[in-house]
Amino acid sequence: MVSAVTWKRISLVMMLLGAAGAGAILLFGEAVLGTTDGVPWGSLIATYLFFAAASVGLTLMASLWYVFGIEAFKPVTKRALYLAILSVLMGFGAIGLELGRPLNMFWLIFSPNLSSAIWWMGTLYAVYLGFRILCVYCIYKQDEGKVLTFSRITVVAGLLAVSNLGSVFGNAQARPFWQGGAMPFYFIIVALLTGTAILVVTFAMLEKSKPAVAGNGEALPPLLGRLLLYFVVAFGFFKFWYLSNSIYGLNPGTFEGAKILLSGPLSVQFWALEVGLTIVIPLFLLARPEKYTNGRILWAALASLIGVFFAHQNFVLAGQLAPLQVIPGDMLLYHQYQTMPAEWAIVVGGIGALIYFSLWVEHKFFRSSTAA
Amino acid sequence: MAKYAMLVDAGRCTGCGACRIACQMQWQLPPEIAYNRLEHREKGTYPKVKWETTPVQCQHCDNPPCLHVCPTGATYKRSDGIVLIDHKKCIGCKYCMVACPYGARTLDHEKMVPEKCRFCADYVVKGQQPPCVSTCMNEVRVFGDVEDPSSKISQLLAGESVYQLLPERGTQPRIYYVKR
Amino acid sequence: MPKFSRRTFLKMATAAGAIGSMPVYLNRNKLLEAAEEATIEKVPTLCNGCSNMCGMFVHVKNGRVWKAEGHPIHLKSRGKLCARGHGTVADIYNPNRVTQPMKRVGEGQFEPITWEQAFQEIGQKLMKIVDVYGGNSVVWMEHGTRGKQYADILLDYIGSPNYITHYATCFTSKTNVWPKMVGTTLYGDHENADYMLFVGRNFAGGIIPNGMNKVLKAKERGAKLVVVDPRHCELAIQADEWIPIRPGTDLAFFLALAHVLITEKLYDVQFVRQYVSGFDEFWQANKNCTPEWAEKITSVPADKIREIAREMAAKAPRAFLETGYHGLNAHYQNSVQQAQANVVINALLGNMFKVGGLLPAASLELGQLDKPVPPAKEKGPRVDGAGEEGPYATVEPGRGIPQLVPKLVEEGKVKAVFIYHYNPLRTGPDPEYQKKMKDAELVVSIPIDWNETSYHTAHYILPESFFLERMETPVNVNGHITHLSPQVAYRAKVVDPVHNTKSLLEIMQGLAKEIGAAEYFNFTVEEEAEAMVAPLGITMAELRKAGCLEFPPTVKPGFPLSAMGKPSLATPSGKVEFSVGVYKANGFSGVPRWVPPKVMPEKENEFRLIHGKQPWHSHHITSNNRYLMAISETYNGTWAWMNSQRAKQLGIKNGDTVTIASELAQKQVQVKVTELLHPDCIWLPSAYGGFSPKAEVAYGVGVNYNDFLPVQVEPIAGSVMGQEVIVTVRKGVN
Repeated sequence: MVSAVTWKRISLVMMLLGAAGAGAILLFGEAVLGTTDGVPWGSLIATYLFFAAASVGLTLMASLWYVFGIEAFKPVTKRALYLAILSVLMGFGAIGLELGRPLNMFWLIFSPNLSSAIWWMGTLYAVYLGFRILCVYCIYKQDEGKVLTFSRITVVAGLLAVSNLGSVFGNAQARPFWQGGAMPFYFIIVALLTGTAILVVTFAMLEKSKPAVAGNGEALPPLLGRLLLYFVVAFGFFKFWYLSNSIYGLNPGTFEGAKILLSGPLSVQFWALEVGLTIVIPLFLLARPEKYTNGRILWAALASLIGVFFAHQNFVLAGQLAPLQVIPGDMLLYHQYQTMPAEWAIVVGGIGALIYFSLWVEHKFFRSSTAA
Repeated sequence: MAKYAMLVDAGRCTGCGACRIACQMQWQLPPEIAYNRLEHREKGTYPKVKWETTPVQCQHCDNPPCLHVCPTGATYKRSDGIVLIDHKKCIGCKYCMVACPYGARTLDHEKMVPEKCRFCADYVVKGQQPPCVSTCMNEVRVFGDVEDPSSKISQLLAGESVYQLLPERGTQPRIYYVKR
Repeated sequence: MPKFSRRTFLKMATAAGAIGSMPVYLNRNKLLEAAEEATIEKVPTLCNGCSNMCGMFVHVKNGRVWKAEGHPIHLKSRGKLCARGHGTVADIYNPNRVTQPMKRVGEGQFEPITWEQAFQEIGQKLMKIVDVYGGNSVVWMEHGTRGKQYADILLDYIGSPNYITHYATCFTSKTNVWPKMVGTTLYGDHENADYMLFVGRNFAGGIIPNGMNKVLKAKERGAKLVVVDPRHCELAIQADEWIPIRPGTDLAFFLALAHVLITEKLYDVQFVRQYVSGFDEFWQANKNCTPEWAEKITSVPADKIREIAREMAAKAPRAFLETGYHGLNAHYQNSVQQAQANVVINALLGNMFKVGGLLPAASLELGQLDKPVPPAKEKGPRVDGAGEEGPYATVEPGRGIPQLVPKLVEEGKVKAVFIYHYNPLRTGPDPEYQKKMKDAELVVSIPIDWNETSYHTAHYILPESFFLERMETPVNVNGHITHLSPQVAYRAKVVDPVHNTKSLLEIMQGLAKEIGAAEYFNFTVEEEAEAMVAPLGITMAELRKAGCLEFPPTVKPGFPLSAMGKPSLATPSGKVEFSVGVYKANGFSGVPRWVPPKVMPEKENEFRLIHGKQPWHSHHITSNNRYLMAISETYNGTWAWMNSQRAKQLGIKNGDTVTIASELAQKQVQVKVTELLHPDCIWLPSAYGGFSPKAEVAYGVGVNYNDFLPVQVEPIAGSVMGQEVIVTVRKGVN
């Protein structure tokens, strides 16, 4: 196992890379992004979706103890809390870089447009983050009553925020592939999947170095593994029905989006990375609980985490690569989208920052104290 | 109160691109940013084939998706029907680009605002014609005030059988196309 | 020549104002508005986006060119402008302009020099060449013919007959044939026609805005438009019918049309009897050219040929075969016969000098400045042989054979080359061959931007001022479309030169001073202009204000007759001559008869390479314009077109990269797989393939048909035969 110091060094390098990417984007704008008029949303949006959904997923996992009182999850709840905060901040970072004129954001307050899903997304995530931080503060102050109240509020806000994220796509007029009422639920599934996988990975990474915090942690990995299995199955179910309905429903736009994934320009990324890493490998590793080992569960979680990132990317791009059919007629050439180095740098930097600050938090707050 | 609209006879268009560049000059846009475009289609097979070109630009919808999704109300609609963008409120989220079913938005890389056809708002109120209308040798576009029954567009709309682009989306565009 | 008094002019100006076609800023309402925006100045001038010179108003805001709009009166634009017009205006601020005189110091290496140094060195070298090798060794090449008035003075002074234009790459067959057969050139009266047959002529590609407008007006009236072209050109979008034809066989199609008109007695017998000579000779030569015969050659069904002939005859004389332009007239071994057949068809329809048929151009005789002329000097024979005893006796000397110049340089017959507003390296065949021009002792290019010819061959580059930065002398507004009333317009200076550039006259004056010819250029363009408009009863001040003025009609429909009632065309017989005596005298057929194309594609991967104008480019001259090239970018404009069936056979899909190869070159290009093209050919837009590294926008973008085209000379008119080339196409990049 790699030592904490090595991880810190690696994560620092990753953060430097991210900072370079951010600098390039701030300096050169769209020129260093893969986005075009045909594909206005690219990998930065996928990155944002990844972190924003992960945050709510982590919050939901934490709520298993704080709200629902399931003792088994107690050992990782604090970690889930700070990771939720870090993760949503990474998400805000990614979307902040994606925004062309972020300094105008104060108009969200002074000139709100209540019919805009992005306005609600911003508002709900801000409320969610606010209560999340408040919650952590109360835990720190050991104000148990308030912890419960704020935890409840945070869970509701988080669920609203992440489902609204689905709605940002679900109500996009021009993009049939994204449209529909299923999207909010899909985002909740993805959130849970991502949150669980992150907890598995961080547990494996951090727990060994701090036996003091372990508590009854021995029983946790199989439990998380089983949860992960359920979420992977739910994810696979959703994808299967969504895409098969899209293909056989033959609705304009929806059909093209599915075709782009199944046999079009994104097919490799879809079958190998999304289906392979998010569904097939975790299923293979987790299908039989009696065979669970910590290693198996860890690999399943890692695979699904990487896969989910590409699932977000596939989802964002598949809705846009087919040119809009404004005038009926023959299918035109697909739009091109290529994730540029600066965009990759943000992904790497975001993950690096997550690792670095996790280590910092664990070291600073958890090493000496006992479980709450 | 004037209500502006445009009538496009796509059947007259031969795809020369004058409308695009006349507009770029009018608004002093860089070469790669165009507020209007042509959609080319081949119908049929050789030698019985038709080549159709259709000019497309912001439709100045009465129910504009781009306006509904704009988080800060930077996109707004004037009482004369023209949909415009308030640059100082735009946060550059590009949701409007994603939401417009006509692909009418184009990102201005300098200002980072998703721009689009303005129906030459500053000029038409002074009685001028948008240059995409006036420069066209084939007189593809007619622009005017549909509240004024004596305007050319009112008279043509009364006589011609017209259609709109993607009416099923419920956007209620203010650009009409002549049916052929 | 009709004279106009001042009063006539004023009366006309008032009339023009009444129909709202006066310059915008003279309109009352607009005047108020102009006052509101006091910083905007609207200057009338003439466009330079192609050679049609449309009238335009250029808006200048705070001393900077803002935009342009069409001149409401000018015959060619009538208030409209095409993409090129708008784009060209923006080119004034193109960073790739040549900003001051340049001297070559190496391969692709230039050193900025002063005008004085340039004139001194060029003058010394030129006079040395004239002394040693004679005036004959000096050649002046230009697009034609805006520089002729000044080039002629220089050539006369040094004793050179060698004025050469680009026409051999463009339409020499037409200009060779019409004066000999009809004594003048006639143009379609599109607006009043009931049937228009366009063959190899894309009115919506090579654009005169008001020309397209006239065609659509006719269509609104119910006129029929039929387009025959291997490619479904942009004009065909408006056609009632597009008839694809095997490229290079238009002559057979015409001969079969004539066959139907004659055998079915559909032609205008009276017109032919009164106004045509050589009919029998034509018929004897082409008796066997039946529609069935033509079907095999052209791939146009025989019944379709009959149908067209019958419909045209029914609508005659308000029916015509468009008299053409670049499309067929410098393209094939049979281009001259094709142009002759065009005259024959129209004469058989009896549409000449008739409303709705063909009409002559309206023009006024302009005055001339009284100035000293150089003493007459003995000139030898033209170095390119155009119009001289020998193989090119029938080639018009006024046009010349530009594609021979590199060879003549190589042979040591040409020592000094002046190239004005012309880029033969890109617009002439075989660029590597064209580069030989640089081996002359003196090569001077007078361009606006860093074109290929300047970059690769010029020893000196003398940048001309942009068209908005210079004044030119007044011109008659006519050609290609008809108007009964003549118009006069001129190119006004809109803004001061942005860079250290000069007008052509200033350049010639500087050079003349060095070679002792100053006295022959001792005038200003203003003086010239004033003298030219003087006979019209107007002043330049008036023309300056209006930009374009229209005068009472000079064209009266009706066949030109002498006082005795005899046909009086400027041909030997006074009639339309189906048989050209000069051709006969030089061993060619007098009447057109079938000549097959020089080369034909045969194998599965062979195609004839054809080309055409894209509506937003004027061949290559606009290829360094950022705005126009952005249109190319948006619409995959650089792609080669290929018929879908042929593409399928070769396994080529839309957007694939293929290798096109001829004996000369092998180049890669992306392919548009289309239903809009005859299977026998590949179509390339003529705008691309820039290879001057200093013309950065055009550099390395796309390919050009000239890359593949060998140097050839059509024997009668001297054209380059631009589409007599077979290429092979294969998928992939090697």
